[in-house]
Amino acid sequence: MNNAEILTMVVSALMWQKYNGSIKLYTDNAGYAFIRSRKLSALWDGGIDTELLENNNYPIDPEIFWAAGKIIALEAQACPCVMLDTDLIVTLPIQHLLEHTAITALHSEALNSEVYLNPSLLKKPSGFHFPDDYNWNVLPSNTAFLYIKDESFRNLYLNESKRFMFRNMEKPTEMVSQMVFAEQRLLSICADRQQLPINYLLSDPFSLLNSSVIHLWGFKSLLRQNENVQVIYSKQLIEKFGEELSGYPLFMGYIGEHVVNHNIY
Amino acid sequence: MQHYIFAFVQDVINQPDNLKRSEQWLKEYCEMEKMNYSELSQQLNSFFQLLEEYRKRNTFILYRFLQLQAQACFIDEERFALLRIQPANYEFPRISAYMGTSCSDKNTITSSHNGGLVGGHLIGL
Repeated sequence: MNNAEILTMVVSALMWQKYNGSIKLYTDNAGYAFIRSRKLSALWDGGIDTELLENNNYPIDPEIFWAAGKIIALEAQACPCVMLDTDLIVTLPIQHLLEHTAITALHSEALNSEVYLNPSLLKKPSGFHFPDDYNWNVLPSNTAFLYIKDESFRNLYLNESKRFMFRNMEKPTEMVSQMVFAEQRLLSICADRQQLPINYLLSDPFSLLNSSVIHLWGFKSLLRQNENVQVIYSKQLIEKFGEELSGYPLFMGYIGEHVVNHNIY
Repeated sequence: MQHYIFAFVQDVINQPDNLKRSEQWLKEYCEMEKMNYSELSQQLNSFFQLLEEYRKRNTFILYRFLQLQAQACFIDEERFALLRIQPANYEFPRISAYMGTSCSDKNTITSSHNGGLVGGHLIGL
């Protein structure tokens, strides 16, 4: 994680606490060591859980299913709950948007065949078959933000996802398609199967009408390649949220170090 | 001063061979005006590095970053337009894609063109 990504994570956790409630981080020992090295252990008011992921022994290949930790964390969390990626900032209170929904995700995604492969091209565990009633035409859901109201649907989704990931060890030529199927496309397929509509925070990810969400998404690749871009992005982020988060000592402390070390102003 | 910095940037863009001489002039001017040359020079270097990046990858979001960095160099939008840096057309990503928090850049397909930043307008990008 570069400094701009860390700053995004800091703003994300604090803005969530400010407007939407308590937040907890699930990570592993390596993640926790990184957080401690940056003096950010107090960032999540609900604490940091490393035991869940460290003690998990599911037969999942972490290189292929690099976001499986999210699935495992979701399984441990009581519903209703929100799962929030560390590169996503919710800028406003959103409880009212979730109140009458069973499932809310960030936005739908196009069924691009390079990312969301034809089922015949997906690598599957030995003896695995897709159920006949899977609707392959439903649009996948971006789960950088995911709210699930009931445990019954949560369990169904997670069971299907785990059934696909467990002992599914054949390496694909790229490391995206298997994961996005298990996490994003399956969510929509399972909801369709249960005839549950998915609500989206954004009707279009790049809509200028969006007033509530900032998500680094594919922008991370540009940030990682160019330090100047990191500095300008961080400056914009501080200008937008600096005053609003000035009551949080952790934020002010982090900004102090960030500004001094990287000469933002 | 703004006019002088703008002339410096214009000169470097149009006649890169004169860079050393132009830098020397700028340094002398800053000393005369009691301005912090090293700070300005750092901001200008970032601007030229971004410009180089923009020439390689002609994206809308990099153009926006270039405009913002120009402001850090005391070049407002009106003067920036006079630099005649061709703006990139705003395009929505053709590929909807996913970059999770723990996915490395290796072997991933990213949403390109505008960099895939959702809600960039909320922070002026």
